[in-house]
Amino acid sequence: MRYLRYIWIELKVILLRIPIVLFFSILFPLMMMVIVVGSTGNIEIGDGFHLSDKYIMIASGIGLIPLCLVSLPVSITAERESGVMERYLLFGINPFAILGSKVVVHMMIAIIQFVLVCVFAKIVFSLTIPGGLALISFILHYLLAAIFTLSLGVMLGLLTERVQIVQVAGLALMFSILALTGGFNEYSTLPEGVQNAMTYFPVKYLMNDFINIWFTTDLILEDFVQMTLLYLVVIGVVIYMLMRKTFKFHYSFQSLGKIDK
Amino acid sequence: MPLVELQQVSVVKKDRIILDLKNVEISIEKGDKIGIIGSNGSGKTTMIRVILNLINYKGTVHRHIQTKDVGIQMQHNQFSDLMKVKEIISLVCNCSLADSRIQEGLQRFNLQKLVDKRLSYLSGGEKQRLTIFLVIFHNPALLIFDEITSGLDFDSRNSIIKLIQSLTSDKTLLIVSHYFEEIEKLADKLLILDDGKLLAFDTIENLCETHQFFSAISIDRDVAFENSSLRFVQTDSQKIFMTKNQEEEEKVMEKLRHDNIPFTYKPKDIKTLYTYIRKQTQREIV
Repeated sequence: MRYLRYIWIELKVILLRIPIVLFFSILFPLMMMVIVVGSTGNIEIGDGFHLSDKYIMIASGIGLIPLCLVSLPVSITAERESGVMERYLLFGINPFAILGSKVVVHMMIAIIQFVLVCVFAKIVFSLTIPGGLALISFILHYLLAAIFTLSLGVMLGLLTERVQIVQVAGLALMFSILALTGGFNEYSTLPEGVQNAMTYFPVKYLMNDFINIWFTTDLILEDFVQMTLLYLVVIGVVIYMLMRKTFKFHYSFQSLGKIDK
Repeated sequence: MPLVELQQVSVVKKDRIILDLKNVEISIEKGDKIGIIGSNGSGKTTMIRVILNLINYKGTVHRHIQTKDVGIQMQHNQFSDLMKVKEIISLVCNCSLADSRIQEGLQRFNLQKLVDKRLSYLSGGEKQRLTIFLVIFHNPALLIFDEITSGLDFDSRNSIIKLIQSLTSDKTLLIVSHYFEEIEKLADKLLILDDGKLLAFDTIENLCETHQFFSAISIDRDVAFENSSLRFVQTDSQKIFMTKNQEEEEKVMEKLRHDNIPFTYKPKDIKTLYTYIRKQTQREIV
């Protein structure tokens, strides 16, 4: 119950009390969609699909990446740097649950953002939304990509206590990833070496290959699923080790029976 | 079994030893009320942070207690400025604001009017009251208070000390303070640190006995009063005589009255005991 409360409070704080998060995660992808699809026109790209169908993948990536690699790690690091996180720990709140709540909140914002992009595109650009298994498969793939990106954000937030470092590193990562996965230009125009390297990076699939599920060409992207699960195991171990180091207080006290109060 | 044991602990920061308890073992037993005193930079907060494993240290610390049984309040308690009072209360207390325990606590700590305020708008005293309320809500067995009244005005300080007195009678308490009267009211053991080293750790009673300290009689520092057989310590404004027993105390007071010298009397004054132990260790005792 405590963590449902924390999720609710954190959701209110992030969405309603930090305007920059609202802008980058909700408004920015919509703006980009209007600018890109509006300027080139919602041209047909074959099989009855339009540019807007393809662009929602890019828009979801443009929303997801700043949310996971800037907003989430900065929110973790800011609480560590200011001493807020230490205060939570000293109140006996489990750090794993604090970070878990933050991840859940950012996941919820990512979902809200993707739904808004879809609703907006449906209303303005008559987006085609697949039904049945394809839609379920797409949602599951999207969630897996979001969990991967969020776990990168958690790792980044635990690496240092300095907000400035995380901000710079997060923004550098964000722009690099967007540039290398087709966020700013057509992915197929990138050098072959870059394309080969990016096949090992799950976000590339979100921006470029999830459309195959949307278009019902593929039901499961096996390479993406296997690789992402493997990454999650590795990142999970790294996060656990970083947490043991960062939140030593929580792991220091032992149980030797109940203390009489 | 002690709740916490420190063995051969030391902390080094930037090549400087800031806590040096290498040849010392400190046990915190259940029910202890320990006042940790020392000048600025003596290692008091560092020792607390070692106990809580919030900084790197060498040596061994055994903690025979669970996290949830420890209540900690630091001098500076940081909260998210974006949160409201009611939100942090519901998060830490893990129940609705309508819960009777919360309502009772809000009243007791005079927080009712603050619940809708953002935490950034609270004054130092309000923040400390809120933190104490949150720290004690789950009834922890070990309470650690680190200079919690620093920066507060006299009235806020007094009300917080009264609160702590009423809350900690059946608990184990570690309190760091610069205010000796707080230590007198709350502690029955003293742990004196100086320049990172342990000068003394015992019950106040035992320390007084060891140092043959029965009472403190203070006079104005500039008043001429000679008594070569008496030990004394000096502060900026006072000369404080340390009597060994009742007989000596009566003799001194009689002489002071006879010479018409105004004086104040305090049995087993902690400030005097601390000053004496510190100066004795530094071999500066007169």
